[in-house]
Amino acid sequence: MASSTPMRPLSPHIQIYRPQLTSVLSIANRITGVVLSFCAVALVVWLISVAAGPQAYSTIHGFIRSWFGQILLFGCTYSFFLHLCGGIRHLVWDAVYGFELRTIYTSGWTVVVTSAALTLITWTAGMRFEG
Amino acid sequence: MGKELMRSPLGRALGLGSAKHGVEQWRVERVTAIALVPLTVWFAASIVVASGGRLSIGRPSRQATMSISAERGQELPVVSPLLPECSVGPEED
Repeated sequence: MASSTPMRPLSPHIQIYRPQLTSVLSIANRITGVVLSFCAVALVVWLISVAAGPQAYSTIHGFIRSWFGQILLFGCTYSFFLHLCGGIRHLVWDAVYGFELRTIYTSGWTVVVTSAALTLITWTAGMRFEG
Repeated sequence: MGKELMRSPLGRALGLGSAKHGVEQWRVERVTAIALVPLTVWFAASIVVASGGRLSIGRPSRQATMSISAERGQELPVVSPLLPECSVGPEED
């Protein structure tokens, strides 16, 4: 393309719209899917460290116990449950239910709240088991 | 059959169009997705339980769950996070 081409008007793209629950959850489901594939790698690293022996495990364990590791793990947990709940929402849509605007918002907030609750339950249970 | 007759010879030779496996693929995707729902909860629960296990670092244990380490004469880590039933280490509750 020649650089002398005049700037042509563009049709509105996503940056022109105010974020809504629907669009945010849509992209969040995709992003959490990507995040979870990295989490799967991290899980394998953890398992390898268990198999590799006490020294390797204590290194990995120390990282997980650090504040940075805990934040990462919390984010992983929320991604995990957000993707799970979002996936169930998609399954309902696949069965051709819940396409009314009101229902879409209800199910969207249900996903957000449920995944937050599941994250908190998991962490409470984890701390209880660990403590 | 009727559709195949409607195609031009070139179109038939190129073989373009859908693979005709779409419905099966869609169905398999849903079946695995539904199967993953309970499996996902199970996974999360087992990780939580595993976080409560003790990997007794630097302590010998009667239950040798890692034979390689035993052969090397190292201290035996009890892999209780992953094998709770094998975790009769000194640090167990």
